[in-house]
Amino acid sequence: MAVSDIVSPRIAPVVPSVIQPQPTHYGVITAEAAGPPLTRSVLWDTGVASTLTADALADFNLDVIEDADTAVIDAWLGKVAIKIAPGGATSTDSAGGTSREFTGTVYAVYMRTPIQSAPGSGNNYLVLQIAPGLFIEGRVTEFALVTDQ
Amino acid sequence: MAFAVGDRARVRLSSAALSDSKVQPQPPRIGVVTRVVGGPPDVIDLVFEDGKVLNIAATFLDEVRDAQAATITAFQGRVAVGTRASAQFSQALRGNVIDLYGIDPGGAGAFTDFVLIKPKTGPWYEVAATAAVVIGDR
Repeated sequence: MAVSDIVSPRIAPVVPSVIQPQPTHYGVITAEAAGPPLTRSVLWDTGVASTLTADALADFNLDVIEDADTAVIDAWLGKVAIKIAPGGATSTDSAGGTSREFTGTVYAVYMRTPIQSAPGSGNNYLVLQIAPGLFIEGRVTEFALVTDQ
Repeated sequence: MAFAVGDRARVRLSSAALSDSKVQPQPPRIGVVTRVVGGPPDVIDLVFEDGKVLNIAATFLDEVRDAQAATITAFQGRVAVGTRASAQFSQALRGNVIDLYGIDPGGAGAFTDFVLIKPKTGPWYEVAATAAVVIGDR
């Protein structure tokens, strides 16, 4: 993690994710200091600039936003997808029975890497918006493509 | 090209590690430069469209300027959709072209034209003009 990296707070639990920021927000690291305490200054996409403090790097609970794998972007960006039910996919329903009202369009695909982890070691995520205007972000592995749309 | 008073700018949300993937703020926000204090790096005072005021090094901003004439001619007032790997995005992402602009990350002097698209019930999203296509029958 370095100045000029793009970051996002880790609000949603990993799995099962039941908290969804509306929408997800992102910022750029503009300064850092070793302290103690550690500080990171962030300029957010809303135009707000803030300084975060923590006693350890992991405590910031920030993820660095990096490029997803090219094949993953190619497979998901601009497609229609649906989140797979907690019970998992079934042979007759790739979404495992998730209501079709959760079908949405994928408009962003990227990697989230915890700020304390090595670059490129994170998980691929996607963000989609469903018809009522709700945003859903999650690991690519939590979704199924809806074909022919 | 350095920032100047009256230039448009936005928070820079790309990096060395984030150049193929994109994050798409909902909605996108653009501001206007009200003051420049020479550096390096130059320090910019910026007021956003919602009234927020920012004082920040130019390094962390994208300069926003007019798109090139050919881009404007091709996309203004049209319905468009993004593409990836030579395939159009889902029809659900076809939308009105809201904004056309050139983006120069960090104000270094190299602009790329972008198209901001808003489907009727979909998210705001921006793609490079070279990765957008006009939907001809709308």
